Amino acid sequence: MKRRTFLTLLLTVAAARVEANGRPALRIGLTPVTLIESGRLLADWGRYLSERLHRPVEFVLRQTYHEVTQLLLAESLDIGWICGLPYVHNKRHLRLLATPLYEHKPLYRSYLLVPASDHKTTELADLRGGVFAYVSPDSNSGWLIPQVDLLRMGMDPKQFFRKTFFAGDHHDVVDAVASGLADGGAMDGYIWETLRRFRPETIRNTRVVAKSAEYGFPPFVARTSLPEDDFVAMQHVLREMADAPQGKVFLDALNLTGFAAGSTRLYQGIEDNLRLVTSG
Amino acid sequence: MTVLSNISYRYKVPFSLAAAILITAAAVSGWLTVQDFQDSREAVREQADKLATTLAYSIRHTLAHDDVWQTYQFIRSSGMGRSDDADAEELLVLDAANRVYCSSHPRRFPVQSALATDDTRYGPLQQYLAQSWQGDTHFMEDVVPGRLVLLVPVISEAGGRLGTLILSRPMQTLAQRFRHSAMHVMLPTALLMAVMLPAGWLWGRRLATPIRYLAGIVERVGRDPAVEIDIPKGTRRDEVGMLTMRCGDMIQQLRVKEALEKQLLASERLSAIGLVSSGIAHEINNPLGGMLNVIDTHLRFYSPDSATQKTFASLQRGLHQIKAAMAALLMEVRAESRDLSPADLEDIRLLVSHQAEDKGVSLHWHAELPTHLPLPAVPIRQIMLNLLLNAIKAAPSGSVINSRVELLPEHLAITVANGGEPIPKDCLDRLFGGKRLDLEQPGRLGLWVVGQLTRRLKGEVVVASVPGNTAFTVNIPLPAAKAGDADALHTPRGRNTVSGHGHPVDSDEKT
Repeated sequence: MKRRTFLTLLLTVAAARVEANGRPALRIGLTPVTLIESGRLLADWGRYLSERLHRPVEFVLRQTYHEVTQLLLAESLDIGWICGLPYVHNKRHLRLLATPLYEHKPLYRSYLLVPASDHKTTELADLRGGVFAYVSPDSNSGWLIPQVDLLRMGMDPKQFFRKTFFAGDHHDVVDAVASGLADGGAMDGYIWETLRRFRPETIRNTRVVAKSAEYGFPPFVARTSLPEDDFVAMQHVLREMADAPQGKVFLDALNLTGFAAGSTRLYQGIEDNLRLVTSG
Repeated sequence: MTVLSNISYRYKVPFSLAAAILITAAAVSGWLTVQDFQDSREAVREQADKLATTLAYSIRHTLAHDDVWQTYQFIRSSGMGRSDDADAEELLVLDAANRVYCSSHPRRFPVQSALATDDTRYGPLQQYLAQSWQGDTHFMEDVVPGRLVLLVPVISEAGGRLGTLILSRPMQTLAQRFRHSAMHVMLPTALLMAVMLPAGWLWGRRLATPIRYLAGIVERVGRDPAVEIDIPKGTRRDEVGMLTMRCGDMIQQLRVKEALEKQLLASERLSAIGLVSSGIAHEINNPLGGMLNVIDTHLRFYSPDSATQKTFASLQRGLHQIKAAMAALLMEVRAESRDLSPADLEDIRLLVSHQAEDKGVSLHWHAELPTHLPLPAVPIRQIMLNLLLNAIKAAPSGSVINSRVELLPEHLAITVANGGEPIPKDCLDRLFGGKRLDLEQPGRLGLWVVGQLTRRLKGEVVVASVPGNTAFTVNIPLPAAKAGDADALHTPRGRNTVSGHGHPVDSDEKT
């Protein structure tokens, strides 16, 4: 948490409103869904984007999707990388800018985790009466999907577990499950796999029990009032990263393979799940 | 106690000092250890209290908002939960229903489980919380076996109890602190003792030394003559100094007492002898007086011839001698005091000649005497008589007895020497004034009388006794000269007197 606060400060100060050509900085909101904890990497990516956009770029780090979404809605941010669920919630006020490609697909899954010492659990139903960790109410993979799974099992999500809590972000769900505080948890599979690639020690004490169906990857969205030029320019820069050598470096650091233009159809599954949960 | 009382001060004092040092060190170090431990214990409690109170305040919001994860983060921020050992510190948060809300060891204390679900050690605490706890902050020892437990209620802003924070620490922590305290105190104490005990022991022995010295002196009192016991010396003014001084006084007094006893013994002997002798003297003096009267009458009225006169005169002198001897024994010197003359010496020679002949001993006689000598005749006659009779008894048959009387510038020297076995040294020491008069030894009474008479005349007796020759020399100072100490008796190395056979000796030959 300390490190993230430091990064927020660092990036805000480092890239704060460096006005090139007299244009204000493009403010991009991020959450720890990215693994970019290296302030340098974010600063380099910021410079990369700034050079191609011919304007300064400012990354604003916030703890939750909810915070980023609220800042976008308040037009305190221009662009934000959020989860599909808050996008679906606020799609009338947010514009889909680009969808990251993970393993060349704009899709990801939700992972059901248990402690590595738990060799018995094979599915969500085995965690009945246990303690379950969600990410946040704004998380598709870390909340919505398990809710839907339970409803489809005919279970009441509020009664199924003995106790549930929100860990705040995906890394904390890993932490909660690994420490034994939670008997199970749900999180973004992309993050789990990226942790396994770059920081395997963090997921060592956890075990993936089940993987959900594929859903639209957390998108980059823009405020609806963002000028079209800026929107198109940013979209173009993101999509061409896969073709640029330096862009590939940043993509690899993010464990992504590229960006694609956004399609709302990708998030239909999330919307359907939301309807199911809110109606049930 | 008797056993302890009999232990020498040589060991008792240093041992007591060492024991005092040990007891003092043990008491002080024990007290310090206890104090240190209690301080540590208080410190542990205080630290635990601060931590728990701060945490309880911090988590009241997260508990109020039912934020398990944030509560867990607060717990982890305290540093607890890093070790899974059973002896590790534990932090638990219970909800209002006393179920586990969150803990530093989630696997041991699952969320929403009862306190003692997986760890039965907490059973008594669970029971206490349910039945007895008043909701106050306080410490409990051993309610969870081997652990110190602090209970802190988590109170909301509105004042209601949201839950309970439990801080559980192993008593081992306290035990470790106690061991640390003990080492902290005991080790320096032990080092100090290693120095002080030997020093104390040595000092104790030094303290006991003057007492032992005095004891050694006092031990000899009654066993050895006081004159042979050293008078203790010291300049101290403490109790030991006083004892030393009084001991010295005592030895002095004992010396005086023994000297008086000697004199008294001599007097008692004389008195004892006197008692016996007085009876005998009466039996002797009466016929003596009669005999002297007869001789006097015969000489006065019957005009005997010259040979008879000479014989009667000699008889008279002899009878007077006997009377004088009786007087000497009785300490009654009623005999006449007249000057010594050559005739007295001749009388003595005549008196002892016959006994010498009977024994088969030759008597060599040498006497140098002017007409009269201003010395009392009676005691000197007795001295010579006793010495000669003693020599005759001691000399073996066929040997020679030398008798010599010389008038020297300052004293009269009477020497009687005989052959035969020498006098043993221990007997020599007792001849003339020992504590006991050994009446079984022949001649002892006579020699003792010699000693007494010599002392009375302010003279000295010198005895030299070697195998084959024993010589007694009596030196009587002349009235005009100073004599030596009458009590001074010494036995120098042997002298030799020789020559003659029943006749006066003209010269001495040294062998």
